[in-house]
Amino acid sequence: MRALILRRLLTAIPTLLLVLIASFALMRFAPGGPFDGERPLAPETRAALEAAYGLNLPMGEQFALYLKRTLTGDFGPSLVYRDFTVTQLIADSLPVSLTLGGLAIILALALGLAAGTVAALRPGGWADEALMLLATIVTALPSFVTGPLLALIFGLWLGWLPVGGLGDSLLTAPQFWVMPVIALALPVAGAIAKLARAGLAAALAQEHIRTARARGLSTGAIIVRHALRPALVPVVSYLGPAAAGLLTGAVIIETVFALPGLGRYFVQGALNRDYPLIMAVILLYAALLIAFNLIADLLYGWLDPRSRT
Amino acid sequence: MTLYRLEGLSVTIGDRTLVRDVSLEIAPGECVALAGASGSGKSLTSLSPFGLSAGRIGGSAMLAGQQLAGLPEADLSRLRRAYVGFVFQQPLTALTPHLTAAQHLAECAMQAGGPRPDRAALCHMLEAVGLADPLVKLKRYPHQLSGGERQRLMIACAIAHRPKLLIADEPVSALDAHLRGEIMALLTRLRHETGMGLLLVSHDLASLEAHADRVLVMQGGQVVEAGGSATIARAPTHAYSRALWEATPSLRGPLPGDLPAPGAKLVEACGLTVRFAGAGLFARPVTAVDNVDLSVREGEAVALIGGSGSGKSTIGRAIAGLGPVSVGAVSWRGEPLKPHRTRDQRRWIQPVFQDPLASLDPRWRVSDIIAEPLVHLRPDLTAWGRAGLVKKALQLVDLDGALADATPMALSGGQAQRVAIARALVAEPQMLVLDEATSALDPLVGAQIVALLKRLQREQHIAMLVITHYLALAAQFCHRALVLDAGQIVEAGPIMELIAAPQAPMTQRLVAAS
Amino acid sequence: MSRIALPAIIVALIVLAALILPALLPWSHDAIDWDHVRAPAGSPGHLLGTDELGRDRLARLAVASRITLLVALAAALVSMVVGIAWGMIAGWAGGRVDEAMMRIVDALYALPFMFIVIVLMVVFGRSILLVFVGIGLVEWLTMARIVRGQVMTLRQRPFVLAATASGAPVRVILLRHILPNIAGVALAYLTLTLPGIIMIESFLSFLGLGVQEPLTSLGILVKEGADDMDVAPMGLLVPGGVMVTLLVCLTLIGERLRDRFA
Repeated sequence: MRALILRRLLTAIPTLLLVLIASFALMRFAPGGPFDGERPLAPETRAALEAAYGLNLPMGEQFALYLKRTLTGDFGPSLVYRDFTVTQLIADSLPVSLTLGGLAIILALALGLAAGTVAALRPGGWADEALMLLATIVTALPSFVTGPLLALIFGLWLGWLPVGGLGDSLLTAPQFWVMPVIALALPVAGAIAKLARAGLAAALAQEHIRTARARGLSTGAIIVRHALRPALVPVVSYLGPAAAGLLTGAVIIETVFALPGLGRYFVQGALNRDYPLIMAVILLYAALLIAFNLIADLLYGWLDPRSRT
Repeated sequence: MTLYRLEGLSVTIGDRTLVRDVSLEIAPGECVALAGASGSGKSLTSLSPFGLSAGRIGGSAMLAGQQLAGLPEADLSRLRRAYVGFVFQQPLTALTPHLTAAQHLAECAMQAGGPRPDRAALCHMLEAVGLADPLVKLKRYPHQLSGGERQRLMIACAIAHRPKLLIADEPVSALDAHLRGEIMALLTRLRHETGMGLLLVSHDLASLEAHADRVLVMQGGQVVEAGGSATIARAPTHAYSRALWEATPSLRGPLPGDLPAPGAKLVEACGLTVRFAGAGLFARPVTAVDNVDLSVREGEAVALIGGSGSGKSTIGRAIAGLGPVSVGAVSWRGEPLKPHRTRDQRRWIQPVFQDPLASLDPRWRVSDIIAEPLVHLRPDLTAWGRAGLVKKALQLVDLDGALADATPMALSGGQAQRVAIARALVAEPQMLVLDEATSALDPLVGAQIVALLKRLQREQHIAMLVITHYLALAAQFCHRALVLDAGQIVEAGPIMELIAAPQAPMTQRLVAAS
Repeated sequence: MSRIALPAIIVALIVLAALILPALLPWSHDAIDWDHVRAPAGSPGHLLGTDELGRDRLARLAVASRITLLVALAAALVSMVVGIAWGMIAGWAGGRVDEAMMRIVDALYALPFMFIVIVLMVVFGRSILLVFVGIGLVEWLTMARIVRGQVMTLRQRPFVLAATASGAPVRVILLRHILPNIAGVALAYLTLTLPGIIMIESFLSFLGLGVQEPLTSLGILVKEGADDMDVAPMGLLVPGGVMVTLLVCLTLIGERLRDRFA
């Protein structure tokens, strides 16, 4: 277990370093960046940038400075939102994205596991075929189609739910979250349903299930004690890619529903070349992905002792 | 008072009747064995009455006075839970991998309604099946135990709830030869101690005489012969029973005395050691082969005998130039032979592997497969020349020329192994390395391959390095034998002497198991 | 086999329509019909009507499908070539080389590639070549992993050892023994990566970063339709429907192939 965590962290460091170097290079040399002189900067911003990046120092020292500032969480000023630092922008918008993502994954797991289990209990039956076809269709629906579609039907035509924006908080104004969370969760739920079904059907076909039946155990005991853990393996293996999918999907959903989350700032930043913001977001997302993959690996080790070499 | 009785049992799957008219009786403490090649219906006969296989049963199956035929699954489950224990063939796949030994045992002990066993009771259960260090083993997962230990655990689980009847479906077939005797002896001992009845399914006929009271020989779903085990073992009457017994060499049977005399020394390995890097980030290297000396002469057949993990395949690969050598030297007729072989060197030694279908590229045709060595090792030949040699090779192994255009999928196990042997022979090698060449085959088919090898030995004077775990098989046509244990040679010499007077404990176990 | 037949036929029909229709229709995809702006379906010369600039919707749909399929195929080929080469080398070499190559794959996997592609697009401009290559570079990782796993399994198979014993050099073994045996799995995963690639392209187009005017793609059509959906919902539903159908059919085909080969 410890060896696994160590190995993961060792792999993570070069990745993050890679991202840092790439972002530094991009900032200093990319066209239209803050140092090109292409765009007019307010003198205060210019002064802040020069202080932050030490433009008169040799390149190696500039990078060291950049590294140090990043490690202390200081990403410098945003180029687009003049009065804010990148750190402030992130701090304001991250909770929205995290809530959105968190709710979406809970919904996706609930729907996906339920559908997958029902389908797996009678493989080849009509419930199986219908649910799996539905799951395939749902995974093929891009969120920028479902999002607007849901907004169209439930927002404009039926008027049940608000089309965009955010209320005060999740608890007081939940209606703003319903469609975004559903649109974000659906593709992931579909993938989880297919994996859960495959996992459970495969687990139930294994030889040790016959031994469990030979022991005269009840169906419930067989499924829970003997089939559940191997069945969850493909679902857990998917959690890493699922996190990635949620991150990218969140970008779209936040844009479509005008939610003030991190993804929307990223898109704005990308279109407006707000490099400090872009790089900070990428770094953050990379760290989140690595964390998610690590959690998935640890869970995987618990589910299947054979992988714990 | 009969414990278990089958009368006119039939098993149907879909609209095919796979087992017909089987009758047997087991009294408490008795062992009845079902023998036969694979596909004879013995597993179906033993498992179907209890609802553990795909078939539906007809006829009568009575367990302690209760009729099993026609019972719904819930009732069958209740009966299994209370009265029957099951031991399956592959303990690695038959035991749930994410539960520890202790969890398995506890579940089985409680299945008939008994109380949760404490640590002392669990240790006692493991000791009863001959497992040492029970406290340590209780915390292990099935994949962390050795093959023999796993099967003992499976047996402990099967008897934990004190069943009246134990059904063992090929309990030793997946184990190494030297373990088989011990596990069978364990089952017999438990039977005598507890008065349990045992229905044994096996194709290891050698052990049946000692461990079963009565034997039923099955072929194609029907019983062709039944009687006391001693009678059937020594004097089988039905043609199929006789063929089955002859196909399974045992040391009790007659051994050939006239093997062709060997010539000059061909291959010699001195101080052969092979080490592999350990798995994982911080693991130490593993020594698979430790300081082994061996030699093979012209026309000689040398057996390399040991259990799985003993390093025999690694030695075979090193000699055939297919595997690494860490320390030591291999030489051919006195000249050194490096692991990376030249074209001419490859012609001298050719391999035959255990799994015939896996040793043929599934996408190639038989004629291309056999011709492949010629393409690379005999560049002087034209396509016409190659085709001629391929035809000769097919004849040499008794294969119909029409099979030349077939793909491996269309071949049976025996045919596939013949193709593999033809491929090995086509470049006219002087030595074959046979790595468990008959272990994956049906006993009858395996016997045919052994007959083929003996013929090749006589007619072509090919030397052979025969890697196997089956001592009795090696005794059929090998001159000398080396016994391997954990990478080291524990005993070596002419095979007759080894059998008559085994010195090392490993050799003694091998002889006893045969 | 009928499980592949139906989706395959649908995909074939879409491809056919995408290739042939633009030649048959009176209006091209970027020509503006000043007399019929926002015309409903069934208007003269415009089977599906026109959009807010007066361009024929059906022609745009056909051209968009073409471009989307082209990008998808090109990107898939890029990912396949890179992924198969990487996976074969890592799987065959084993040991340190394999460890190093797979560590690189792991490190790259952790990068939120989507974002990197976006940044590259922003920085280096929006050429369609970059779109192919960028997307292809996102998908090759999975192909590499799968091919490497397959090659490692095959490498231990006796028939590969037998080929070595027959004197075949490594080059020959890889090309004539290993490659044909992984072709089935590679094809299956190729068909499965196509939907992913189409999604990425659509996503980029949605953000305004993918295919550029005068060309169009399904992603662009969906974005335009979404912007306009309160006025002309068909503008969203028709291209969206075509895209979803394409994605679902390709996924079904890919899954059936994967079940057969892997």
